Amino acid sequence: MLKTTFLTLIILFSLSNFAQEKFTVSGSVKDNTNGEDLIGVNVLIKELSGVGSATNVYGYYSLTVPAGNYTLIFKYVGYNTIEETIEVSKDIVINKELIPESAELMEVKVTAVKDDENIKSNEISTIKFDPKEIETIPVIFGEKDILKTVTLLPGVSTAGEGNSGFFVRGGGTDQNLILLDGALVYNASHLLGFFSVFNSDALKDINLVKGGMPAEYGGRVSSVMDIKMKEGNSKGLSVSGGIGTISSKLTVEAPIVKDKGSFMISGRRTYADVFLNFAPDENIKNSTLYFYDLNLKANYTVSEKDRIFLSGYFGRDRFGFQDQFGFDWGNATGTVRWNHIYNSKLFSNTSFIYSNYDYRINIGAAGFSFGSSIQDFNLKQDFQWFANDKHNVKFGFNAVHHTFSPGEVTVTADAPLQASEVQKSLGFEGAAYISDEFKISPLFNVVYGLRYSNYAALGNGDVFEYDETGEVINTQTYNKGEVVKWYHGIEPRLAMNYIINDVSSVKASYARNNQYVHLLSNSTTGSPTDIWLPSSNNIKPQISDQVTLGYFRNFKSNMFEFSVEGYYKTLDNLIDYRVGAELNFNAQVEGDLVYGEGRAYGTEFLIRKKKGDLTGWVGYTLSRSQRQFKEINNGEWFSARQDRIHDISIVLMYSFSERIKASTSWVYYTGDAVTFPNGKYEMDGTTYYYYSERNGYRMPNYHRLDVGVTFYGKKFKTVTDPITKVEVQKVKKFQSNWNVSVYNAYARENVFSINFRESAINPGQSEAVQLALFKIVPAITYSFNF
Amino acid sequence: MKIKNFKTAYIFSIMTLGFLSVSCEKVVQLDLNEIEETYIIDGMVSNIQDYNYVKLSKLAGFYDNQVGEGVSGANVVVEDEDGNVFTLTETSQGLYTNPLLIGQALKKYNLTIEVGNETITAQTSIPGNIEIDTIEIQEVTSPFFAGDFVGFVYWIDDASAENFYRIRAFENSKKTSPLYISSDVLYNGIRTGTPLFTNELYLNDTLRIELMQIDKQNYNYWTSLAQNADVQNPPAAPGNPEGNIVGTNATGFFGGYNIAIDTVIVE
Repeated sequence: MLKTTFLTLIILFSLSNFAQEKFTVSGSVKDNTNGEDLIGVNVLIKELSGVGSATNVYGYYSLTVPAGNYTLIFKYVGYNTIEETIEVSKDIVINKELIPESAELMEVKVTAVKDDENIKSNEISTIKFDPKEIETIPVIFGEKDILKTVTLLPGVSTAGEGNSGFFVRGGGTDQNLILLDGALVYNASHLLGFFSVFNSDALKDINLVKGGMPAEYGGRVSSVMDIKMKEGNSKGLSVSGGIGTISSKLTVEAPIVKDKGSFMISGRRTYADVFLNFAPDENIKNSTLYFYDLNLKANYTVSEKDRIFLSGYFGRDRFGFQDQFGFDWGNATGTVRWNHIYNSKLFSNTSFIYSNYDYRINIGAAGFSFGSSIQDFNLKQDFQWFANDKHNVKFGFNAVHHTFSPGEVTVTADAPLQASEVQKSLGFEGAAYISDEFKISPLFNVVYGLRYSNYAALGNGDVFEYDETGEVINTQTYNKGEVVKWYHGIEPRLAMNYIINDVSSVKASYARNNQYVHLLSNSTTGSPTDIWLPSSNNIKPQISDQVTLGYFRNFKSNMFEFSVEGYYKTLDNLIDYRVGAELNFNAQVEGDLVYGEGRAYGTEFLIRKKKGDLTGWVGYTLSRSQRQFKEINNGEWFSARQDRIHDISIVLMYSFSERIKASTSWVYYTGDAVTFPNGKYEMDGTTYYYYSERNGYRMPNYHRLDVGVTFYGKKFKTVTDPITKVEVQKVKKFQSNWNVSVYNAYARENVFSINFRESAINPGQSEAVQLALFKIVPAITYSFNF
Repeated sequence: MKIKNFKTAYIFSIMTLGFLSVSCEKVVQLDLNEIEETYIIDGMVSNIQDYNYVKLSKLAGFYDNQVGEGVSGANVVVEDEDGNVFTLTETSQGLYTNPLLIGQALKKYNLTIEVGNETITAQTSIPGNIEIDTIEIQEVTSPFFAGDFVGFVYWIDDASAENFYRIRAFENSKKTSPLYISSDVLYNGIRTGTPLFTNELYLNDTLRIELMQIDKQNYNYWTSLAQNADVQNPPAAPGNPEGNIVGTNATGFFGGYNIAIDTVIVE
């Protein structure tokens, strides 16, 4: 089927190519100040309406035009537009560097780019962030965190107070594909979820897709969060850093060879443990408590057609008490990437990616330690074929080898445990895709594609079958590498955009996604000890189908963006747990699982102001997310925990002057669906609680206001132009700012959990106790760059 | 070996360090659904003579003042696999016992309760014998532990079978409530042990340990209860454990136990 589609495409395009002799204009676009590739720059031909291209994630573009003289335009929000006259009589390469508006001298009037990307682009259900855009939004402890900021937009909600996990359109936290430079990040949080592993200083671009995922992405059923690290300044040395309440960070970027290669190193470390040294208690003094992140990236332009990238991430949390107890966990990822331009129309990217997540708990006092890990090797090949002015084709494949180690124990001589290991699971996950962006007319765009994915659960010992109650009824032994079970599926993808006029458009999409790995977590907050389990003879792949329809409208010369999107999503083969399920160190954990389905639907409203002294947005989501399991609530539909019916967020940023910027955000959402007891009974003299139905109750509604102010140091200095002798304002090399923020400014006692216990005052009487984690949390951060 | 406890310790330590010291607790009144009338069965058959009982009570509403109100007037019979029948008589409200009932290792026991128009049954088994190897008392100084001493109980696991254990600890003859439930997945056939961190011991305290070998069904039941009762890290979706009680509007557990007892004084 894929082959036929591909052939048809080729024939289609070659036919249209006979008409007239055409040539290709291609090249790359970078930032003039630091040499970073610019993503999504519009490259247009003034004389040919509707002919244009956007740079890809490596800053590469390609346009095909008939021979002639043209004006080539480079347009990008936040940068000065460049127009250049070109003569096309053969294939030509034009590389450009754009100058950011802010780097200009103050007097120069900047030509603002018409900011109507949201109308023209056929991306639906997509949130794009430049980390700089959101740096003033207040966050808890003053730690800039993209995973938290993204939850301020419709359709995305936080997994809990201060938590960096997120739910997208009623899906679970494990259904988000989180990629850092293409490498999968299995556990994106530090310190039990209070911080994400993403250090904003090292990031360049963030793209969250909530629906209608392009065919190049797959593997998770709810969303894709594609995060790109900075490449590093190829023009000169630059340093930035920050000192905060919780952590400090430093980023160094420099050229390897000017304009040919550069690197970036960014580190962040918390210093809670520094204060431990001041503790009067010797024992506390000997405790360990910190996390760190290290992001590294280097790139080198080998030739005009070849570029090599290396990137890596290492992060770890460490907690310990003398040599008696230690607990540490973290991710490591590495990517080697090769960009190659086969010809002016065919761009290739080959990546070899490694991902690892592991945790280890060391009980030194008792002489044993135990842990779990997951390890991936991934080969990914992507091609982008700028076929002609109507078609932009992407195709490729990837192949991943997974090793899941659910648990192993190591011991010293006289430990109360013996060394043992829950059998590793091996798997091979493969996918191939093709997608075409087809400009049917200047007003009608379609991106259609197919992704074919498959998963082979590979043998590595015993494989169990279970009966209805979860007892093993059959055990079969497989040799290493033998296929135990093979799943595969076609995932159609479609996104359409019809531009009604200059200021409005209608978009629609459909996407199917298959997910072959699953997270087992039976705690509300998520834990480093949660384990990932692959599909097997018992666990089928999760499948989602989602349709979306959206209307986009800009007002007042694109000053205001408005959108409304509706979606309906079905989820199949979801996982839940039997009562008393043991998820860790259980070779027969699959017997503790039950399978069901889900549905989620809703409408998201967003109004956003992107220009002027006052910027920000108001978002509102009305949605439901429900589940159905044969074994739960007598097979009736019930609310998923994240079934937040109303979700409102308001974000306002105001610029009082160049030097003072304030921001505030307010969020409100319906309380989570939870299970409460309604009865109690005694067993062996102790009181236990009796539950009536799953998620039949609600937490109190959540709302919170955060405020922040950023004070910037002087941005400009006065210098005398040596030629004209006129005094002009010039941007200073050293820039700094102080950020002061308050989380939960009106001290709302938002409920983190409700627990049940016997009253201390009236024995025999039970009581429900709510826990609110944070009241007012102030924070202060100093940041600089030069 | 409970992973959750370490997580709890971790959260606790952060809190004590003052970073999250703003957290606050408040008792709230919840609007809860009515309960349905349900019988609760709590039964034990063991190798220790006066330990064996069946308690029949009613499920109480969450906000009721009383829990475990006994149900009188039931016919309660325990029969072993050899056909020996023991009729239990009510010694206090809802508590049924028979001094002649002494459980034997590796035997199955059937319980039948007739109450009102209902007949409730359950079946359990008593696993093989177990012995306490040693009880050790260690002095501790840890910011996470309030007592001066902690007890460790050791035993030798039988390699030939899957074994499950429950431990009850009594501090100065008062039972301490937390549940120690364990399976031999990680220590099959070796000398093993566990610290009893919830017993904060001081000089001259008496620590009495009951090491109970139980079957898998019993283990699963108490594991579910222990998960629900874990206030620090409650399961995202708690539910009622299945148990082994057969009958309409009845739940609970009738369990077989093979018990070894030992006592030490902290010196």
